[in-house]
Amino acid sequence: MRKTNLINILSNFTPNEMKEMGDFLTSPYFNKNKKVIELFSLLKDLYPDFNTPKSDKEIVYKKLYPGKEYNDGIMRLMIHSLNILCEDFISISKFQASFYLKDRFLLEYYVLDKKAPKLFERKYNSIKEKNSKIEIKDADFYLNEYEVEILAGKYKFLIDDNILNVTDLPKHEYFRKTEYLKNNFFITILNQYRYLLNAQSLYNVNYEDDFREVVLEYLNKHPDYMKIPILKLHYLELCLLLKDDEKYYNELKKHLIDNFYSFSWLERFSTICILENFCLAMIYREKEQYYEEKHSLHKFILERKLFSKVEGGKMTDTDFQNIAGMGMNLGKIEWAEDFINEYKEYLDEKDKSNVLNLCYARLNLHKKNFDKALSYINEIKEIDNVNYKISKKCITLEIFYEQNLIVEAFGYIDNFKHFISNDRLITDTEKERMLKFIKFVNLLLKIKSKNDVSELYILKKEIENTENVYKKKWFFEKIAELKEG
Amino acid sequence: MHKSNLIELLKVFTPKEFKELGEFVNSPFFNKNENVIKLYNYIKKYFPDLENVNLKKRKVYEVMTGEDNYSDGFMRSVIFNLSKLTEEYLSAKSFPQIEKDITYLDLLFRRPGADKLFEKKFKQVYESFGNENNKDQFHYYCLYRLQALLMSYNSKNRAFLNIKDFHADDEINTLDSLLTFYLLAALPEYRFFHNQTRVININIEFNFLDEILNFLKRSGFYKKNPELNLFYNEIQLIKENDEKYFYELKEFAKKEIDNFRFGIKFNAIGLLANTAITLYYEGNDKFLNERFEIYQLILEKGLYKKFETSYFDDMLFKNIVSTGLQLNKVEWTEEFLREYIDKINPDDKDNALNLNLARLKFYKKNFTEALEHLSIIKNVNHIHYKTEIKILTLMIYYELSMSIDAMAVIDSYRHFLSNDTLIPELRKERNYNFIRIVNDLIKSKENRSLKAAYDIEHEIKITPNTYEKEWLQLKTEELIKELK
Repeated sequence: MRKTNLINILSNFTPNEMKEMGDFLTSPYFNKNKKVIELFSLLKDLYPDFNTPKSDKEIVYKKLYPGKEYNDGIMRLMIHSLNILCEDFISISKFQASFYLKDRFLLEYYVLDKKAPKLFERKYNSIKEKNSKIEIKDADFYLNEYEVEILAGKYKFLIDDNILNVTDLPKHEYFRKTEYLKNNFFITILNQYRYLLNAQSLYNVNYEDDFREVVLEYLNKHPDYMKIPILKLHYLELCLLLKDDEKYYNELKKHLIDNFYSFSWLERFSTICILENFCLAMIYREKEQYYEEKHSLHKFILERKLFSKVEGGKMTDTDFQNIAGMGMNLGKIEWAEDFINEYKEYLDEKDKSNVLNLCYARLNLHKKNFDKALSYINEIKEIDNVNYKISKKCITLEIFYEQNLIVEAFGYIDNFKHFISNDRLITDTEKERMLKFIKFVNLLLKIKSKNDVSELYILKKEIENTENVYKKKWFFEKIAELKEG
Repeated sequence: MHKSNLIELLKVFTPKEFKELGEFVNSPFFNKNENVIKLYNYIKKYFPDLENVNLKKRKVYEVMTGEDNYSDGFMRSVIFNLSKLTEEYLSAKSFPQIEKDITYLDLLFRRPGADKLFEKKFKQVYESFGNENNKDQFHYYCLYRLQALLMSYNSKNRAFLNIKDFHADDEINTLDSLLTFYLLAALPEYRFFHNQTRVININIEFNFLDEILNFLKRSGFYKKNPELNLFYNEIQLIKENDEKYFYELKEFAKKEIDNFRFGIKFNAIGLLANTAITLYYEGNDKFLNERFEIYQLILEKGLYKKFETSYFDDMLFKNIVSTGLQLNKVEWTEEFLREYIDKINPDDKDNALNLNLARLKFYKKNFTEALEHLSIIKNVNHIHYKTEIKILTLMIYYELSMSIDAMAVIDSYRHFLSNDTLIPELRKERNYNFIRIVNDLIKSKENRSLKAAYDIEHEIKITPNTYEKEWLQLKTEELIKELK
């Protein structure tokens, strides 16, 4: 039974959920099968470690049906029944916590099933009162308002369709339903566009959507929509992603900070990602102040533990690298080391070793402990994220350079170039940036190997005049070092 | 306890629901309060007789506690808790499977280590959901939520090693589902409100509609979904009010109507009928026949009620009768009245029968009988019923040469119209034109003025937006003949 879906579900239960599941199973509304209760009770005794022979089907069966010969069909059926009940338990528990859904389904019952006018009126009024007090007006809020008004409309025409004077017309709220629907839609679709545009800026994928322009143009003409904080958040995100203008960066950052608690965790997280990506783009455009800006965003993230999509979740390997790397780039080596040591516990176990090796390699590179840096690089095993692979290659190349491993470095450059050229997921801008990095490292290595500083001036000029170069500052440092001999 | 929310709630319960409520109340997952269970068991003895004297609070308290020192606070608290549980039961009962599934998937998505469970369950839910027949706007909203959940899951878990790892189609499908949801929800709303503005005087702003229509026209997105296609055509008809769109929609309705859900069919056919009325009153006389054809289609398809479970719409009923008679199809109209009158809501049936019989008798020239039927009508439920009664009364008085009574009706009719805020302007104008012409007819008849009669004949020709045009024309012709 250890490999069944059921055990997988139960393994994911918290102790409190296990307790509540017991109540759920003994609730005749959901379950009247006593054997299922017994099965759960046996498994509960094993919780949380089901990886024991005691969870084998035959052994469990013997306890459930002492003295009877094992019947796999019955056992499978029992497991299936308990599995379904576990799923229902999770759904119902969540449902119990969602007053939107609970209220709406009750209202729907009154309208469609029973046409109970007094009960409907009372519930409708209580829902509207409750909703009027809600502070976070997100897409769900507006959808709920829309659906409640749909039901109010059905009620109006199903139960009481007298139209003799103005007071018989549906209430003012009813006519607002298209507005509620529109608010829900704008919030939701802007969020989707934001996600896609952000993906587009990170990976080499293209979306064409006529309707996006229709929505944006409409919102431009109707600034009242900006009174809805979440709608404004997504609108500013889109403007930033589409227009790449610092004005929108500042507006978005201010809007996020001013209305921080009006947004869900995921919204805060996503906005921070967009702000960070913008900072990175500005850094590549040599806007020096964005190094500090990005670093300050990182501090903001860490203060609020806003490094995961899910509250209380793990930090991604990429974010961990970025935060540590930015600290190091700004020369805040001690801060970066403290960060690595303090936050490594927030890394997912599966990534932990590789990320830490990469970060410690970089840290040691900055500390000029090149051998140590290389030993950390050599510890890195299989990695699956493309950006992550690039980081590893860049650090390796830097180490080779610093250690005067010229032959190895030239060999590595070929391999690196090949990788970049063949990858189809890396955006064109990123490809260009990496190929320029490789090219300049190559030139630098040649100068270094020939010990001919006369060409340094030309190289420096070329780098200065070239946009979108990875680690420009590092090149200038290395050129200066070579000049000094 | 008789007037409590709890008893009111339980009154709408079927025996099966009441039994299920018992299981719910006895479920420790929802309730561990023994007193609530005791109260339910006590009520059970009397259900469905919830007016029983034994359900008075004091009596219930005595039986429940075995004590006679009544505590209202205690009873209120137990009643409140059972009432709350009863509402929870009704909500839980209506919790649809797809909502359950999405809720479950959402939790798996958020829970570390539940990836395999998520993937397995997602595949199962997505496949079974795709096979659903009822693909309304909420289907697309749920589809969007499922696809968005998958997108989030992929972005959290998928390793982006190469271009194959990025499924752009998934992202596009998600956007399409969201847009389809919105359009399927919004376009009927726009259509409904536009249509309502023809019937009652409401002022609604149709923000964002033009932008949507331009987009749909440009992109052809509406062709992706049959319902969307229908809604798009309906709105084109409403906005353009062009007979070209009327015939296109009519042909589409004739061929495809059976493929849609009841509400969509009802609204599409209702829109055609209303457009035929509008075009007729704009002076396009052939639309009286078109209107009749649409009514025949309505009867053939059973689309004469707003909801599948409701009754024959009494306003539609009256329109069918008057159109039949306007086209002189007296026998057909009589047959219709006989066959369908019992499909009207029993509460409204008497009024509907009397109004429509009055009209029938009028056309058969039994004016006194017609007047008798009108006099029986009481407590009408719709403003247009009121105008209908006034129009018919005025016509009867004219036919019976009761000029003084007719003039009195004209006065009260005018007064009624000027005070009313519900009838839209175009309809008001239609009423005013009718009153004015009847008034002129009466005066011309009294003054025996042939010139005035000719003027009226001309006036009718140039004033298409007038009620009872055919009758007015007939009466004018009769008057001219008489005065010549």
